[in-house]
Amino acid sequence: MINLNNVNLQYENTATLALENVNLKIQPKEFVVILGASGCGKTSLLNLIAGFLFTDNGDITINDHQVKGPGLDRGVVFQKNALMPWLNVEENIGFGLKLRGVSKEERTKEITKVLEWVDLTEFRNNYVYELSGGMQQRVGIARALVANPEILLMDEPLGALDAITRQDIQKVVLSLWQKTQKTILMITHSIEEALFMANKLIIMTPRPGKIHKTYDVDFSKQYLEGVDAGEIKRSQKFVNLKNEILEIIEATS
Amino acid sequence: MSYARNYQVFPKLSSKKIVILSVVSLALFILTWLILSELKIVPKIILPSPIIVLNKFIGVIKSGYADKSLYEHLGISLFRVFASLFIAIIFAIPLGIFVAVNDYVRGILDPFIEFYRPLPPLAYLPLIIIWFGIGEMSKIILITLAIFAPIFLNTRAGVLSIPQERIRAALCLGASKWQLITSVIFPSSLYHIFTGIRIGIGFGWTTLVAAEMVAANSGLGHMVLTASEFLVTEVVLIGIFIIGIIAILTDLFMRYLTKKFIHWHR
Ligand SMILES: Nc1ncnc2c1ncn2[C@@H]1O[C@H](COP(=O)(O)OP(=O)(O)O)[C@@H](O)[C@H]1O
Ligand SMILES: [Mg+2]
Repeated sequence: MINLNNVNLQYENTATLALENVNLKIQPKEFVVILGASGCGKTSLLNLIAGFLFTDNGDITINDHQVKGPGLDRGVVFQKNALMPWLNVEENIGFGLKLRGVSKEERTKEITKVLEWVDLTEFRNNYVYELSGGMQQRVGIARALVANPEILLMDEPLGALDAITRQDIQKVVLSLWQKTQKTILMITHSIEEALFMANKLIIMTPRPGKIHKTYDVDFSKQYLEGVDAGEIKRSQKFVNLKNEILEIIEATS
Repeated sequence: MSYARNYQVFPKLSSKKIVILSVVSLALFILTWLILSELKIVPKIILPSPIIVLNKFIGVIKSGYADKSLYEHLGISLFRVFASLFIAIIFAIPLGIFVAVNDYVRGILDPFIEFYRPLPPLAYLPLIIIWFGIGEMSKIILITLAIFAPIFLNTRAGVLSIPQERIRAALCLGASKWQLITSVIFPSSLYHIFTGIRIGIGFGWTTLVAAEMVAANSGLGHMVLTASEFLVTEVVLIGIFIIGIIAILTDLFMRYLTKKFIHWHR
C-alpha cells in the first residue's frame, strides 16, 4: 500500500508550493490515474513515490516503509528517452535482470513471456530506433514488468504518441493490469484517457499543486468485462463526467 | 518523368556532380602548378614542378632522407602519435566520466584543467624539455597532453548530455553505482568519446609535427624542417603531402569506426 501523509514540496527559488498538503492512499491492485493541467505537480508526486525526489515535509511510505530511493518494488515507465539505444529489444527488456545476475536461461524465459504480453515477439532482435513510438513504449512497459515489481509508476507514458496508437496502448495497459494484478499509478493530461483507464481518478490543480477531487470510476472494468471501448467512450455517463472534469480543470488553471 | 525537386535559394548539386567538380578543380590546380613551374614562371626553389616532386618522392621512398629511410620517419611519427593517443585515452575517459558524475572530483580538478585546456601545447614544450629532456619521453608527454584535452572534454560533455530518464530507469532496474557507469553512462557517451578521439588525433598530429620541428632527429616533421633548411622544396612538399594523407586516412578510419560501433546515433 502506498501512503502519502501531509506531503508538502517546495522547489528552491520558487514562490509557490509544488505540492501542498497532499494526502493519498493507494491500495494494492488499484489503477490510480492522476489528471491535471501542466505544472500542477503530477510529476513531482510520482517522483516522490519513485524515490527520485525527497521532501522533509510529510511522510511517504510503501507497505509502511519510508521511501529512501528507487527500488525494485516499483517499476517506472517514462514518457521517452529511457531505453538503451545500443541494445536490441530483448536486451533492453532483460537489462535489469542481467545486472542482477539472473542466468541467461532464466532471462530468456522471462523476456519471452513479457514480449508476448506486449505483442513484440517478432521484434525481439530489432534495435529500439527501428521501432515506432508506440512499440518503444511497449518495450518500456515490458522492461518494467519483467522485474515483477509490485507497483508500476507511469509518467505520461502515452503522451508522445498519436491518438490512434494511444488508444491501442491504453488497451494493452489495461489488459496487462488485469493479467498481472499490479498496483498502477499513471499520469496523464488527457481527460478521456484518465476516465477510460482509471479505477480511481485523482484531479490535481496548480499553484499550489493540490489534490482537488477524487473519483471512483469503472469504465476500465466495463472494458475488461468485454464492453466495446468506443461504446464506453460515447456513453452518456462517460461524456457527462468528461465535461464535469473539463469544467473543473478550466476553472482552476 | 523527372523527380520532385525542393525549392532552393542556394545552389545545390547531386553528389555525383560535386565529385566531378572536385576532380576537375584538382586537375586544374595540378595543371596550373605544372605550367607555372615548367615554364619557369616561378623559380624551382619556390615551386618545383610536379614531375620533379614525383621523381624525388620515388627517390625518397627508395633511399630515405636526413639519414633515415622514409619508413623510419613515418614509423616514429606514427608511433609517437598513437602511443600518446593510447595513454591519453586511458586517462581522459575515466577522468571525464568521474568529473561529470562526482562534484568532489570536479571541484578538485577544475582549476587545473580549466587552465591547461586552452593553453597551446607548444607554450609548455620548453618546460617539458627542461624537465624531461629532448628524448622520446618529452615528445610523448607533450602529444599526450595535447590529445588528452579534447577526449576529456568530450567525454564529460557526453556524460552530461545523457537523458536523466535513462539514468533513473537503470536505477529502478537495480543498477548499482558501478553498473550505472559501465552499463549506462559509458555506452551512452560513446559517440562523444569517439568525437573527442577524432579531434584528439588531429590535435596530436598537429602537435607532433611542431614538436618534431623543434626538438627531434627523426620523424616527418624533422624531415620537412631539414629539407626546408637546405631549400629542398620537393621534400618539403612530399612531407606535407604525407602528413596530410595520413591525417585524412585516420579521420576516415575513425568515422568508419564511429558508424560501425555507434550505429544507433541519429
Ligand atoms: N526541478 C525543479 N525546480 C524548480 N521548479 C520545479 C522543478 N520541477 C518542477 N518544478 C515546478 O513545480 C511545479 C510542478 O511541476 P511538475 O511536478 O513537473 O508538474 P506536472 O508534471 O504536473 O506538469 C511546476 O510549477 C514546475 O515549474
Ligand atoms: Mg509532468
